[in-house]
Amino acid sequence: MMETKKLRQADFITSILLILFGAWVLFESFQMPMKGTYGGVKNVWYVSPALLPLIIGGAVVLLGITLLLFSIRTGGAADCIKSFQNIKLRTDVKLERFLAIIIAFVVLVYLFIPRVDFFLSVWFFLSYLTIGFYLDSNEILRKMTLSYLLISIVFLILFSFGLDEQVNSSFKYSTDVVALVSIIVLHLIAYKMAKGSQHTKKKFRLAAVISLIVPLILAPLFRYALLVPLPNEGGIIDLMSLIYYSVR
Amino acid sequence: MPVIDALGLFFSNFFELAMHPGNVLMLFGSVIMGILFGATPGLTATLGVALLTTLTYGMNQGTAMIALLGIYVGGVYGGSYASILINIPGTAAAAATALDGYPLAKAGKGGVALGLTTTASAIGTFVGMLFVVSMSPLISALALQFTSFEFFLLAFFGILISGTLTSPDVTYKGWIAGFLGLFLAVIGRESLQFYARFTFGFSQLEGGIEVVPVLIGAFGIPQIIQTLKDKFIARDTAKFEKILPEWRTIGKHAKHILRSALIGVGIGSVPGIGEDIAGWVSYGAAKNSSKHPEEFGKGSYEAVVSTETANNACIGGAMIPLLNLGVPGSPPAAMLLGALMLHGIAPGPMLRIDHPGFIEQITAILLMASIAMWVAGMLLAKQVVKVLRIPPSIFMPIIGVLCIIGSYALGTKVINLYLMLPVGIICYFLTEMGYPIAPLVIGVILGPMADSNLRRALMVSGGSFAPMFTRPVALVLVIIIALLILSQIPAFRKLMAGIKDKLFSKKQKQNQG
Repeated sequence: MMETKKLRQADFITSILLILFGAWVLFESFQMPMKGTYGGVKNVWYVSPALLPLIIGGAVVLLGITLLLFSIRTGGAADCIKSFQNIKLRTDVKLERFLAIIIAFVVLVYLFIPRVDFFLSVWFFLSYLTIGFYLDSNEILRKMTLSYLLISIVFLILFSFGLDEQVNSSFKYSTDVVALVSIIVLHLIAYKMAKGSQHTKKKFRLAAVISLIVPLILAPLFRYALLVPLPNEGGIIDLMSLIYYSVR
Repeated sequence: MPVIDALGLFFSNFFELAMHPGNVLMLFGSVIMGILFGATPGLTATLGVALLTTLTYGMNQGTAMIALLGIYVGGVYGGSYASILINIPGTAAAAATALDGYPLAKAGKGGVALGLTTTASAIGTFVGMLFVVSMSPLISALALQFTSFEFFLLAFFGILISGTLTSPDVTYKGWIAGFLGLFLAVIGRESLQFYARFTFGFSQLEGGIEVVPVLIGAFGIPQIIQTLKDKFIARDTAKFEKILPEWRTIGKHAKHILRSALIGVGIGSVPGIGEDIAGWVSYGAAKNSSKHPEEFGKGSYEAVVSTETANNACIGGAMIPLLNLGVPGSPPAAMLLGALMLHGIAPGPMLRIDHPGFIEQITAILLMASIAMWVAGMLLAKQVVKVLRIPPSIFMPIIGVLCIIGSYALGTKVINLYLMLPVGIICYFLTEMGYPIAPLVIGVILGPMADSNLRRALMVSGGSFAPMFTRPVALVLVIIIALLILSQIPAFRKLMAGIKDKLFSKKQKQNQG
């Protein structure tokens, strides 16, 4: 949890957001059928689908106002306004680490999982996050984040302009090949930064092995033992299926 | 008589389950997994139950319950390892254990402390189990008399009390979290008129938000962000020789064990209040009643025994409202509710009619889990301690992948992932800003119950709220809810303090006279 002074400043901002959110819930609720007939049911206020949302919206607005008054009374609002006036862009290690984690998850969930082979998506994600954090160097994490972002932008362009479909039409697994190359590039970048010290090199090796082993266990476990169809089954999963069904 | 019938059914279930080697194997596997989860700082029993839920999807209901309750019991107990050996609570439930467990470990009594916590946790789970088996017939019989008004008020009370007691900052932050959870619950087509609420035209949202991905996001993602961001470093553990059960010490503290077990069960049965609060309340009660309160914080056996008994007894307590009313007593129980629903079991007053013998089966599993936990704790402590040396930067990304595949696998819908991540990130910020997550989760779970029962109740009464004041249980709930809200208003608190002062001064005058 934040320290008290920062907490009261945050309360000022969240209270405003909560009031706006509550007001929006109320507005949306008033659009819901309150009288007349809907779905064959004659509406009166107490069977309306808006009833609970109205209570929620009203309560959030009320509690938001209470929080706002509390932040004003405790000086959080004044501090917050003051800090807005003297806004300075600072690079904070914790903020960098936070952004690195968020970027890793957002890219995996919204960009890779729906479009790239599940095994490769997870390997790419783990290669970045495990190596980046386990090597315990802000410099390495920064460079890894930049590389991960650049590779993700390349994929974003590929998917946004439909280029993946074009290249996949000539060879089915083209996107997977690009993903595999990206993972190798990411490893090479990390290795180059880690090779200076024996200790870091050892850590890199361990992180790289773990980032490969985990999808190697999880993908077959879910696909063949729990019979869960994976979100995107590309080249590697197809290869696993080929091996699995020929061995079985 | 229903209690004796229940006991008979309980023992037949117990022997039936214990006779299957597959069940025993599953039980030990899940209990050990739970201990590892609990022992690892950053991982919790709730997250363990959440992630295992996915794996139990294909299992039959009995095996799934063994796995889930095993990881739950093991997870709550496992937290004591990190508390005692590295002074970092493995779970919030074991936070109070660290105060006295670590000084004991530093004094070379780590083995004794772990032996005590293992036995105390097993006793706590056992006492909790006794309450489930004996209280359930009475509570479900009472709950059968409930009408929609009572169920709506119960859901509302659950959210409010959970918000009141779990908020680390001002109380109403807990209530805000509860209302945010309720909002998530109303997304989708509602059950009476099938009107689509807050779906923004997305057909994927019309079915509503699935509980399990929301819970995985709420409990998993903030934990991953927090641990990786704050550069949590694995520490060397305090050395210990052998884990000994120390029966004599246990016998000496029988009084504390009994009191703590009762506190644990009592706190567990309050909706949404978890094992952590049980541990702290029990620690406070033990200190207040101790002949040597000055030893607390310096390595007191009384303290360690009290907190560990209470947090494990809380499991049984949390199961009572979960099974009989459909209201989860703690965050892991909330997760368990999601798992039960996945297996086609709707907890509540009708559970005894729809699934006769199910509650007794659950209590039999709880007893088996407490035995398995004790055996695993005594035999595997040295191996379990090794997980404390694994750097979080290695296992947290793996937990991240498990959260993702866990959220996806249940419905094989990518939309669950799209929801899980923002819920997780929002929950991280809420936690940072002093909002508790338990009421949000309780809100998500109890939302549908509150919504449908409120409207059904008003439909029956023709829009009148009068039954809330004429039905005894409803009236009690209304009064408690009103007091909960009013107690947060300074003017009301002042008024109550004034009345109390007047009453006491009158009594004093009478005594003097």
